Amino acid sequence: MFENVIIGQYLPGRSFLHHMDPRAKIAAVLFLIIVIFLVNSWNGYALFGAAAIAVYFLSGVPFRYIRKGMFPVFILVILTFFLHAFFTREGDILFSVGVFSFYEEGIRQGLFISLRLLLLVYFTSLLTLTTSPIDLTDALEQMFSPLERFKFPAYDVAMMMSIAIRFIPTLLQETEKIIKAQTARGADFNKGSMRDRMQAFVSLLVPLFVRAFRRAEDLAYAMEARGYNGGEGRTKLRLLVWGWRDTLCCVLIAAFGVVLLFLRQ
Amino acid sequence: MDVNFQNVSHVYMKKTPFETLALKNINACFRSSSVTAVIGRTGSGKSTLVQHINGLLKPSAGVVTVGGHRLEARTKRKMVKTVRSHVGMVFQYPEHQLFEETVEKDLLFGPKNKGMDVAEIQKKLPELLQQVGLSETLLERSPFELSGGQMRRVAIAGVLATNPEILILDEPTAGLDPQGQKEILELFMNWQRAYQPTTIMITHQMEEAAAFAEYMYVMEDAEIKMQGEPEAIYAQREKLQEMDLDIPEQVQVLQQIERDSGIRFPHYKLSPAEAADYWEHAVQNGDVPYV
Repeated sequence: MFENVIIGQYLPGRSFLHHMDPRAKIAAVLFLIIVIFLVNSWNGYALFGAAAIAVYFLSGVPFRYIRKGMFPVFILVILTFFLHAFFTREGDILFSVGVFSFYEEGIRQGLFISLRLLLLVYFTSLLTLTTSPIDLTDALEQMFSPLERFKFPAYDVAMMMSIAIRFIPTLLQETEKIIKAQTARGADFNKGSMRDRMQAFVSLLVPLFVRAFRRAEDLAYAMEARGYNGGEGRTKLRLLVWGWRDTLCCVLIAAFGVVLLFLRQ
Repeated sequence: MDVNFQNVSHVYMKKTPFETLALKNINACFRSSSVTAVIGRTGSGKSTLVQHINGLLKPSAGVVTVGGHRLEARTKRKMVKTVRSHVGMVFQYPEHQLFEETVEKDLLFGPKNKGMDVAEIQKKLPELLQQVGLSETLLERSPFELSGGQMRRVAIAGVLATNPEILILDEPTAGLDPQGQKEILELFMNWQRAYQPTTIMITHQMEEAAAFAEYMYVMEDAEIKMQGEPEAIYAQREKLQEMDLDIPEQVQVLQQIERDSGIRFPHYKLSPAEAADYWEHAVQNGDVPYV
């Protein structure tokens, strides 16, 4: 039922990317997100594309999987492309269809923005596909911990995130189970009048919320019973280790950024 | 209504790294009005199997025949809905499916969806509540004010309200204490006797199956490994133990007595008192020696 959602999904593996330190990966993705908005030439996008292909081979994620996950984003990409193609009126007219004229600059802008969106989603999906949620929150916690000096609750935020992430599969399972139970009682979630479908939806949401609150309460009690009282002085079972891969990656990414700067028009 | 499985296979999450074969070439038959148990440990494919009967899952290959209807990979949803209206399914922890403001509304959710005569069924609700061991005064209460045991009974009544011709029970006693398990099981036995639905019960407890079923399928690793009448299954003790399934204590005791004394009990559903009587008669008649 939820087989096609890959954003936020983790795919266990032993590739180069899987073995990297999550902090390096997050830093790299953040850096790439920033520089992609600086790219404004075809050469720049060609280089970015080459980098995307190289990273694909380092990730060990099956292509089928990426293609399927990117599909929903494609609709958004095509929409933005046409928005730009229609409404930007700069440069020479390339061709006209009826009352609409397509300008050179419009097509160019449209293509650039679409490429940006695609690459953005591609790199962030690869980050979550090759990094387990626990590693991800551990890394974020450490990266935010300098902010604790300014009263930013890095530990609590990280804990909240890991709990939220931990319960996504549980909630999905629960959802699927309740959908099945109500479907077996004749509810139809996909067809029928608006009223029937609303009714079917209520029959899913009410039990889901009831269970979620019950679960949250149980978890809070369980944590308290085991002496949880916030992050102060807690040690970690899993330590993040910075290795040669990570240094190498950071150096390469920095070099990549410099080259892209030179390719700007 | 008869239910037939012909060479049915089911694959979960096809074409992803998580692809798993959940059913492997299943052939099975559930006779009209009979009670069949499907046994196996967690993950053996029991739930996947029964979810094919009301079209919650479609076979990846093979055919499921329910009454005169064929369910295949390409079967249209309209057809699936027709089949579904004949099937009632009690899930594990059925109380999680309650959602209406009052017990009465929740009980009528199924009949309404399946296009039945709601007014007619509404009249019978007090009787239905009694059949599941609840007082009819609960009708106007919110299902969320009830105790856990009452909630489960209301949820079960919600499935029985449509008086299904096929009744599927997916570990309906999960999470109850032994007394509660017995009560819920008796409730289903009485219902089965009164309305004669084709009943299919999933369980991983042999005791439950023993008390109820005329025929048994034992599943392991997506396949049916054993099938037959309970007596025949219990005879294969070693094969069962390989699958982490224990013969019910009561049957074990009776089998031990048979081995020690040479007596043959007519069946293993005898209560201790009945077994003792039977044995005493056999000794008095001189069929078996006194031990």
